[in-house]
Amino acid sequence: MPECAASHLKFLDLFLSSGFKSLKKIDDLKDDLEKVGRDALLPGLGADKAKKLLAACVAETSLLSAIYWICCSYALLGHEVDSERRQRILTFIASCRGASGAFAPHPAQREELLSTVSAVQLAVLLGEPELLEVSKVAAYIRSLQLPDGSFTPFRGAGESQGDCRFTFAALCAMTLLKQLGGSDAEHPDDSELCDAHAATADWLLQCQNLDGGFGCRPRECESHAGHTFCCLAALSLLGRLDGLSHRGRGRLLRWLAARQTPQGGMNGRPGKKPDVCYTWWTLAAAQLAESLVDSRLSDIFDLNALQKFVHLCMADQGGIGPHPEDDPDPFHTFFGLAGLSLCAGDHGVLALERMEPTLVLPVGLLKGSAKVS
Amino acid sequence: MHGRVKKDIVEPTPEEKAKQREQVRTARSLFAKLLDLRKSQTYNDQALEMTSKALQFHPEFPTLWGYRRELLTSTGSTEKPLQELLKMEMKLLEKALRKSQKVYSIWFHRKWVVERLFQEMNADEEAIRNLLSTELDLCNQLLAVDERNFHCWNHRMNLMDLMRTWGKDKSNSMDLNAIDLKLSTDLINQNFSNYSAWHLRTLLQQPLAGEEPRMKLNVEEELEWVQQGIYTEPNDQSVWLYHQWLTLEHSQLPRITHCAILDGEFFIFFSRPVCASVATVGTVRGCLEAIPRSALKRTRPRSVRRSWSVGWRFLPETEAKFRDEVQITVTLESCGTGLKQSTSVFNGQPFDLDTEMSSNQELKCELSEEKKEILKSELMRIDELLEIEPDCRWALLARMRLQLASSPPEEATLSSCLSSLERMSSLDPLRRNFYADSKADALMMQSLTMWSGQGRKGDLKLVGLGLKKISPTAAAFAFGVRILRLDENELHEFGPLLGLLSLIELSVSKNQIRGDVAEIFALKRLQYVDLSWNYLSANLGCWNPPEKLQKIDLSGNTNVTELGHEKLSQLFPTAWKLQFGEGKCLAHK
Repeated sequence: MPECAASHLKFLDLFLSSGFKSLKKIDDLKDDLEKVGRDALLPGLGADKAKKLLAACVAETSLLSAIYWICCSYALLGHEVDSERRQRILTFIASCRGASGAFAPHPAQREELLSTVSAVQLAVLLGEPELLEVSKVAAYIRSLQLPDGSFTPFRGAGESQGDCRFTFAALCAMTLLKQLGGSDAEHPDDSELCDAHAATADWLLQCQNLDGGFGCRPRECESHAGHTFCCLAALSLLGRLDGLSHRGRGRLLRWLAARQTPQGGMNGRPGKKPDVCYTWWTLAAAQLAESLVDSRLSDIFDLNALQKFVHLCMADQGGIGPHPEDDPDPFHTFFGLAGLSLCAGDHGVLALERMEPTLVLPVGLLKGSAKVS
Repeated sequence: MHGRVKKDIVEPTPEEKAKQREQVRTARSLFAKLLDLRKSQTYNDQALEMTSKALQFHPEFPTLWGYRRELLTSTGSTEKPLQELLKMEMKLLEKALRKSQKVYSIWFHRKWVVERLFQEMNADEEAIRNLLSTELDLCNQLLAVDERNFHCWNHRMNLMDLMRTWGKDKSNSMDLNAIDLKLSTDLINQNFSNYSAWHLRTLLQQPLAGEEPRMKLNVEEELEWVQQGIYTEPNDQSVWLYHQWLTLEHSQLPRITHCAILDGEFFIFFSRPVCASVATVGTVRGCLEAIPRSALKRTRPRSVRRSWSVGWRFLPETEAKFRDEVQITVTLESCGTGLKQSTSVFNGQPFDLDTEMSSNQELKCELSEEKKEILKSELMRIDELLEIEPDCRWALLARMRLQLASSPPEEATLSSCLSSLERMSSLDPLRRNFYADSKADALMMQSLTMWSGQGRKGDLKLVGLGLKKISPTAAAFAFGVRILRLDENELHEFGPLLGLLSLIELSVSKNQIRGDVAEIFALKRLQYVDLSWNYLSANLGCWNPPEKLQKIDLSGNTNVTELGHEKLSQLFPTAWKLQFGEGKCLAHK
């Protein structure tokens, strides 16, 4: 269905260009600022409507990631970004780089881990390693590691507890940085790195619950498909998936299989509605577990039913929403397409590039091993 | 569904539109101003107030929350004492949380503030207790709105963790477990399908990092209560998952099932795969080596690589012979789940496979009498339920698991399992492959049990059962088998078969095995092997067939046959004959 791919592209194009337009508006507004009296600053607004209207504004908080979702969707669909748009994207990414070498979601905001990972992924997607000061970025990421091996989302986040999302993100970025030409000068020696990785792996393994899924932090959080993906992908990057006990593997497989709902789509936790983004979290997690349990995706899930559900969530004007009838957005479009790319095989309706599950990038773009050390 | 209409948006009037545009414009300019102030590291009361207004208007703004953290911690930004500021922050956050309950940045900020307050008020017991009750109240209110809100659950878990750490050295600490248990009970009584509340309940009873569990609930009382839930909502998975956990998963450690002697070597087998390293057999110490030895994947240095196996070869430090009853002590490595090293002890007679086929080996039930009683009464309850609800797949599944766990698999049990599996597969077609795999497993167990019951002599036939894999436990049970036929299954790899060191004759024709033919040469006793019609390949470099091998059939493995007659004949000693052509590839002495 090539017209289907075309409509997704159109949707992504539209989102990108209106995004850049609204960024421009925000810049223009700064000039108006002095004309607005302080008292007039905050009239009491009706919450719901204003919230929707503010959407463009809000998107800023994950703007760099949104650009990664869009560019990676382009790559999945085998589409090359035209040179004008590409230039715009590159300028924007560069403008988000802070003094630490890490990236902020928007030039006015603060550097943080998730935007930094998106910037690294974008550098690979666009083939522009010069966007990054590799050793500075690596040093920034290492500075976010806590003594227990986990990672925090930004500097100064406190030492209380890391979170498996940030731990995965950090390892993913470090692996890509290594592929992009390594960080050497400030690299701690091998044994130190090995110890840090061993602590991280133990921390991640303890996130597994007795129901088989993984929670956000060790020994307390309920299992969640997104967190299960993060933990498995991080363990895979560390080469430590074999740390999962055999019973743990069996339980993991059952927990993942139970995510498929009668509608065909995946949910994130028992008793919840299906949502398109879990297509990726669940399938990618299952693919990482495949080698451990000697089961293929088609043994674990009904992939036809799943694909039907994702297709129901596709909007006529292109793009994919979380549930049938919902408005599409780049996040669900990307994770829906990425998920479909894993179950494509011979069932595929769309011709999609295949995704690498641990680095969340198309296989064809990657060189070197998907291991952090 | 096409021509979609957004349900909750009413087209605003032109005046409303103009007003909204104006509001957004103002808000945006405020945001822009604040972001500039943050960049220039301006820390003063005015910025504190403006961020507060901006965040009340729009709380989903991580950078602004971050700015506030900078404002609160930078000295000289305000006159007010930190504790007072933090308490104001709690009020601001409460408003934000009432507006948006699922925003990471708000919860993160709340966590940050709570942690600072814990530090600030550490010595003031009453203040800490008040803080706890404020937080718990808030969580309870938010859980009343959405009982599955995982942000809220995770925040609550973190809070209780802080409390537990804080209370460690206090004499009259509060009973935090009782608070957790009450919440879990209350929420479950409101809705038996609240999986999050069941999760909390299992956490309370779960041994962590080698420590005792926080609480020990009476299993029979729990099961009694669970029954109510099952009858209320027989097709809800939450309650069944807890049921399964209570009956089957509860604190079972792996144990040694048996030991055996083959070719003078000593082997130890466990009830499930373990990570082991050293053992003492009788008075002799030694290392353990996994069988089959972990395959060719070598991605990490030896020091951190782990092997999981059911069967282990004992490598004694000094030469030793074992015949009679021995005591075995094995040290098991910590493995991921937070369990530290543990030991497993066993007393028993090794099966001597060198002198005679042992005729009395059987799968022993590893449960205590008390546990057996519990499982028996649960089985009766489930049977009663199935009379009323014959299509309850969770009940069918629970019955099958309980049956397999509570008795050595007998003919009657297995056939009842097989019919349950058929039924479940039609009730839950999404997971039909799972049921098909379980069915293949049950059929295999049936044949294994029969073979074992007949004295473990002769061929073990597991032909055409639809097997996709052989479980390591099944392979360990079959250890000692000499002739094994596995033709016409769907095996992907040799896997645990490579641990069946006793094999003299093996046939796995018409499967889907990938990998290298040479893998099978790890079985040193092999004389006859039929690997025909698989997807195997042959790497000419590492070809080292066992001495006793008489005949090998590689027909139909196209990767092998396309090597051609000449190359293939180089693989075998000169005395061997090779029949080659038309898909056929058979070599024999």
